[in-house]
Amino acid sequence: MSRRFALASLLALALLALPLAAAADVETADVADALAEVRADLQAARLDRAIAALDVLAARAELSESERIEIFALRAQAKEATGALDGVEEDYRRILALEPGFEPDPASTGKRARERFEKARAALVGTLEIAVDPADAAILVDGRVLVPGGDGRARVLAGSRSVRIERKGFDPAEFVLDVPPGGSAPLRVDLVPNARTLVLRTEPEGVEVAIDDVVVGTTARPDAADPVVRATRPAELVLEAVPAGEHSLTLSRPCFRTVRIREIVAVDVLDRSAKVIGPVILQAARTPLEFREAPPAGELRVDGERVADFPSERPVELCAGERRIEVRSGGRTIWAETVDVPIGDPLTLDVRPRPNVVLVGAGRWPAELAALEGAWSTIAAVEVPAGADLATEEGWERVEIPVDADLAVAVLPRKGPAASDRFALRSPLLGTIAPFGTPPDPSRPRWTRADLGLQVVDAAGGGLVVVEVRPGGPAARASIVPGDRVRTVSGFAVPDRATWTRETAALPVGGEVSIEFVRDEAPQTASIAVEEAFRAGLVPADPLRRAVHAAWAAAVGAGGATEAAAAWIDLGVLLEQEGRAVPALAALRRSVWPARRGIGPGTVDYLVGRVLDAVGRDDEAREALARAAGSDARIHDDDGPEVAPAAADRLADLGVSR
Amino acid sequence: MIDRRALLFVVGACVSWGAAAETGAPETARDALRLARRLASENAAGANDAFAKVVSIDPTGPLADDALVERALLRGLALWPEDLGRVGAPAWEEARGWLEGAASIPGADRATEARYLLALGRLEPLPGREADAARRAFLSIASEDAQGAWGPRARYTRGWLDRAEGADERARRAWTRVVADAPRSDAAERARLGLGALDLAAGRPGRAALWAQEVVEEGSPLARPAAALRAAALLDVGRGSTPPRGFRRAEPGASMARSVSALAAAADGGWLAADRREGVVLRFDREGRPSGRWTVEEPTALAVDPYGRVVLAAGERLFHLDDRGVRPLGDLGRFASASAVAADAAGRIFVLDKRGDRVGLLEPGAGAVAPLRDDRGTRLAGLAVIGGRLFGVASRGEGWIGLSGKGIEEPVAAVPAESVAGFCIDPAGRVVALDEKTGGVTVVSRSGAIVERFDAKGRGVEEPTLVACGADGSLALLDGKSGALWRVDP
Repeated sequence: MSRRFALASLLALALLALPLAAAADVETADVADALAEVRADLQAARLDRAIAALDVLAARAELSESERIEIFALRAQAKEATGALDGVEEDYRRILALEPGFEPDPASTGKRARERFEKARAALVGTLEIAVDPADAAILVDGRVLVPGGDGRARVLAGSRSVRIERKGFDPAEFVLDVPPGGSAPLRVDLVPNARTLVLRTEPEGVEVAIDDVVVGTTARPDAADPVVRATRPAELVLEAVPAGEHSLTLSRPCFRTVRIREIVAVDVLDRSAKVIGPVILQAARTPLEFREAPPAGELRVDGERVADFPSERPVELCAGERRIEVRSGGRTIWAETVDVPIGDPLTLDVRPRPNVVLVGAGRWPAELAALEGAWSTIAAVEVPAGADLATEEGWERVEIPVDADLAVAVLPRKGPAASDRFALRSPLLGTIAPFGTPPDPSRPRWTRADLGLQVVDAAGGGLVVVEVRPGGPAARASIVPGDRVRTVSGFAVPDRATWTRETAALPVGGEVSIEFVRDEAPQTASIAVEEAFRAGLVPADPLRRAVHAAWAAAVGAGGATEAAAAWIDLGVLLEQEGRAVPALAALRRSVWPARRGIGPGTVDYLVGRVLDAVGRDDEAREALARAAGSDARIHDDDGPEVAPAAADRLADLGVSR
Repeated sequence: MIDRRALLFVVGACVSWGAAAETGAPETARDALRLARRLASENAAGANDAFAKVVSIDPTGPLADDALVERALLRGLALWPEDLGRVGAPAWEEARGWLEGAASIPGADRATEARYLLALGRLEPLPGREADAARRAFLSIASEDAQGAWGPRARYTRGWLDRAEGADERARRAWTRVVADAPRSDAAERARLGLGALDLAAGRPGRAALWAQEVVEEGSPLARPAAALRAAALLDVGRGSTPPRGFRRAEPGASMARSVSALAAAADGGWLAADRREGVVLRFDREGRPSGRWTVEEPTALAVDPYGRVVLAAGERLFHLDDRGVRPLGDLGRFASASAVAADAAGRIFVLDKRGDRVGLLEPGAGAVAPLRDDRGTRLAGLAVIGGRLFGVASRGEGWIGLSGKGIEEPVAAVPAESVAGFCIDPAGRVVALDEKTGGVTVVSRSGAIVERFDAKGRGVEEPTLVACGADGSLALLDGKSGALWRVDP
């Protein structure tokens, strides 16, 4: 073989390989890209290459119908250019089988191709002449949607065709038609209605409508340019194609009584107009709110919205239903509860301040802690961060506790069937954690007691002896003197001081109580006014009780009622004992008292001085303690120890002699 | 000659033992302390050595302070000032060393307790008592451990010391502070009792009764003295409107011969009587029933010190009487056949000669009574220590007088009596004087006010010759004619 022949053979092989390589590309190329290249080939008159690519493309199985039609149309165009008119006709047949209404592009279709197209159409396609009532009914031919032209005509494949006419609210109609090639097949259909449109009108607007318990929409006033007109028109909701038959319509809106309507929807073949219902007037449903005791000064929030300020001149009413009611005072929530507000009868609530509690590690209160749930305001339930050990301070630092929370109750993972400490009480105020199995007493501490202005002790031989009578106090006004021996209170025998304390503690302040006593061996009776005395500064030692006490103190203090000043003292003392001097001082300084005997400004001065002394703020401590030492205030109780001697002793520590 | 291999073995064994002791010391010490505590709880003889072993195992370990403190407590140290006076000087000196050791261990958790016990021990009525050092220590502990248990105890004890020294207002301040700042502490309970005593002495019986009532309601061991204080206070509450005191003749067994020379109230609420002729000191319960006796020749004078210890002058010597028997304290010398004795919180014993003219003093640790003052012609009817100061009541004339130096000084109040046979100080700090001529009993306050007066003869006591004051305000009277003991209710 000569060298020249060998080179020529190699070139020929290369030329032969080019179309093969191009075909391989088209098999995998993006269809749109491949078609763009085909168009470029057609413009460049690379007809063989274009036809070869289109053949490969047409063989791909994943083509959409429109892609396939475009491929056939381009190939018909290419074949027309090569003069292969039979091939052109074959491609048009393929197109019409897919889309009987197809029209070739006149700009790229030559006369001979057009003729071949007409020939193919005359053999394959006929015309459907269709008239339907209602006109917007859907027409499906062999399951495919057919949209006739304005004259009601549409091309379809000749032969036996399955036609279905359907519309919501009408019974569907189905036919089989024989469409002649190149000819026409007429069809007129009047659908029979089976549903009706309802127009539901309500006053007020915004009423939620449910049909057969399925919410279908909300009424609204129709748009109108004139706002006056708009306001006077009733709100409405158009309900399309409500099936014939009996239906339940439920109309509801918060703060209104819910209305239920039974509606029978009938169908009139001749009258297809909408049926108007209403306007339905919904009656307002608001429940008067009453309080067991006068609420503290503050604001009332319902579902997060401020609805009243206390003290309020006007009565407070609530929308019926489940409501989140909050009372805020002193910059925080002091009472909160989710209440199912009934319709009609007044709702009576006791909104005296109580602690806010967060439930941690449980979505709802465990049954064992039901007493706690009822006594406090649950303001949140939070999850335990993964891996957080709630027996430790570090674990709690990862728990997001709301600002207003006075307590957090954690449900700890059960360690065993007999695990006694299943829960933990965290005091955000004190920074303490107390595990527990038996729930603490959640009840409210008392910062006041009934006061008769006398003190008694047990006599050695039995009975009670009056040992102190406060000058000017109720007992003094009733002429009781030390040495009198008390026999009864309100007719009940009081043989010892324990009984006396129990009987007098429950006396209503502001009333009077009858006392029988013996003086100089002669029985006597006196009526003594019951006044109020305070207790403050004597706090529990048990960690659980301390946490609960602090929570109550914070809530009651914020409530600003009679006991608030005493509650602040207790919170200050608890904080002081936990070594939290700064918040202790803040709490104590919120304890504001008028000038009075017993617990008062001097008590606060002593406690403030004590905290300041402990943290080394000697000058300030001296000032506070000097005021306390000059007062006749007491601590723990209005009749408790005097603070002046204790203050003087502290002053001596600070180098001040008195 | 020592075998070389044997020497190497011994050295090796020592090294390995030392290493083991080092690593196992805490565990070993823990076991040893456990054993020592068990022995201590059983009052077993080996407890002392067992505690010593704990310290030897790990001298600076975490349990060494426990062992040292508890070893010291084995010596019967007082936990409260009222319990002082029960240890002798040798026991205290031993305990002191251990307590100082515990207090000096760095980071010892019982260091404060050791310091408190050390300070309290310095108040023991023993030679070398260091009241000022104790006061400084209590001030320091109270300040440093204000939130703990020992701070309030130290502050309470400081108040007790103030009271013992007559600084009642300082005591009131300290005790009020304890009650205000640590109201639930054991120290507060004692402080309440102390405040009650102060209020009673200050003429506020109602408040005193209330303090006492609070302590009674606590139900602690202090309930008994609190009940006594309350009874004493109630005597003053509404005085005049209450029925007259009840007089009860004690059981026949309590009848004594006419030779009884001294009568005193015991710390347990009962009574003590010294019968000179019979050479016996008799104990009675609060109702006057005999409950014990000591045999001592020629007992002439009797007193109970602030710690409840019985001090007796008999013949030429002074004695302490307790459950263990009769212990000599010192020689009376010129004060033999003393007519009265009195003791203070510092352990000092004052002695009145048989004529009632001269006062002698026996300092703790001294072997003999030394003359303190000579007031010839005064004829004191007895002696008493109130708030750390010595008082007497003259049989005639001068009445109630303070005796703190040479010569008669500081008249306190007149005591209206023709001839004071004897007197005692009641819980409110008042003189209860018995007039042997009239048989009248008069209660006189410091201000000279006659608080109470009654005729013992009119109530059945034929010839009252001696009187004693109970802690609950009750009185004991000895009928010199019948030898009967009478109890006068509070």
